[in-house]
Amino acid sequence: MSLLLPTTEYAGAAHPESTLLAVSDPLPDRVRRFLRTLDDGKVLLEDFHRHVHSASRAYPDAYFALGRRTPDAVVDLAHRVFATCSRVKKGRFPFMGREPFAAYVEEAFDGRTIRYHSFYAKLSITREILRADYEHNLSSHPMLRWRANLYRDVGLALRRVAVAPTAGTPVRWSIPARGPVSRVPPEHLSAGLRALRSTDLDTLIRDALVRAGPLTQAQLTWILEEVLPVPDQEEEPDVVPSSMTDNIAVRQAVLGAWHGLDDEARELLGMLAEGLQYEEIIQRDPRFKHKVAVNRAVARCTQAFVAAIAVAMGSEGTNAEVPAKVAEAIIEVLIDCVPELRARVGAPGGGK
Amino acid sequence: MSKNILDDAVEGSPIMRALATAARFRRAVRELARDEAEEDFWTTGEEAALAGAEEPMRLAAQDAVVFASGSWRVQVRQRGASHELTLTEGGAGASIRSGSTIVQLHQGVPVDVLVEEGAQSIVLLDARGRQITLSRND
Repeated sequence: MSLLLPTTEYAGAAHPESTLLAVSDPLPDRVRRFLRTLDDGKVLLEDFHRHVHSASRAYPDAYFALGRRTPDAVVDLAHRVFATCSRVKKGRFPFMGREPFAAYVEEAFDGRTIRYHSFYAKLSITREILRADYEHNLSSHPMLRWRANLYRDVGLALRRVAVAPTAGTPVRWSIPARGPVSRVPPEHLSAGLRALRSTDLDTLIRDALVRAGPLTQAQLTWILEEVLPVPDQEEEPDVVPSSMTDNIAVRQAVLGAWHGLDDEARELLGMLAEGLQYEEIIQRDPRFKHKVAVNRAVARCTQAFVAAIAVAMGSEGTNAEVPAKVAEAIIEVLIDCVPELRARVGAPGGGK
Repeated sequence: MSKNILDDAVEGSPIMRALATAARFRRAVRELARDEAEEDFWTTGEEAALAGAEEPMRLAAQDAVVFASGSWRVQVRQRGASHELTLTEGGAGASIRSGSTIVQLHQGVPVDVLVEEGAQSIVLLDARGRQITLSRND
């Protein structure tokens, strides 16, 4: 069900980018007045509601707060876009270290450009926040966690069975075809893949690429999500404090463990924290082609993090099995507390 | 999947195995969200049309040179043969010497001044006539 919001200043035009805007577009003045005197805040917020609703209408539930696209979730999103535009400095073009509203006024952007950067561009403030919420939901909702794990497994399988061009984004993987092939549109692939009655990723991916032609890793993930059996939901660990990443004792223990490592161990742990596979690690640092160096670094990291894990779990310090959520919290804290790791990984939805 | 030296090493360390798995999961989350954003999975034709409509622009912020000192800040932009100076931060009653003329400055109001090419500093006068030297911020 769509929300119909008033468009009185567009005099009957249904599309926000009506040619009437060429005559008088009130948005730049509203931003200017809000910035200088906080006047027009309510009207400006209503503009934001309308455009955020428009820009986000095709997104699925997984992109919204609490994993559901409800009217309240869309309103919440609009409020956060508004707050970001008025208070958060952004480093990237065109904000250049300024709050978006300040940049819009200083650069004298017209209404179309303001709407582009706030709502509709691929890198708009709205889409940036949607993506950050999606990442949060991918990490916390069991079904979405399965999708993220499937995406990772698809990536590993692609490296085994397919080839990618050396340039261009997004990367489209392919399998060289022998002779002419009649292509199937990606949206019609699922039925044919189900008919194979296989859960082997290599087999399914090979078949998909031969029949549909080049596909991206994300496209293949969505297709295979419809083909593969849905796993049972993960059981929650017995004791996982919800605010582990905010816990001062945990943060201090993790930082203490990090600073206690020598350069070699820190380098290996840093690359592991980035999520690198072994092949990527030895490309970056050939030291780790040698078994002695790897074993030594792993042993030192283990020793250092035994105490940190114990603090996080409120248990005795031993090298025992660690629940997934605890390990993820430790990685989260490590990246948050160590600037060089944060720079390598990049903060989601942050002021880059 | 075939094992490697690292897999063998973390086999004996549940802690490291868990941390590596967690980090790879985190990377997958990040990259899946990034790929869906880059491929415009969720934009409709209208947004795509808007997205394609942007013209390349050069920002005023990229053209301006900033001079600052303490609580004083000015921006200088080239305008043809002359320069446009705007006091962006500072007290009321400030002025600047431009050739043989004293030009009054008001915050946010650009004025035409003569500025030496490549100048590394600019001298303002505050309301009491005291000189304030602002240095170039590059």
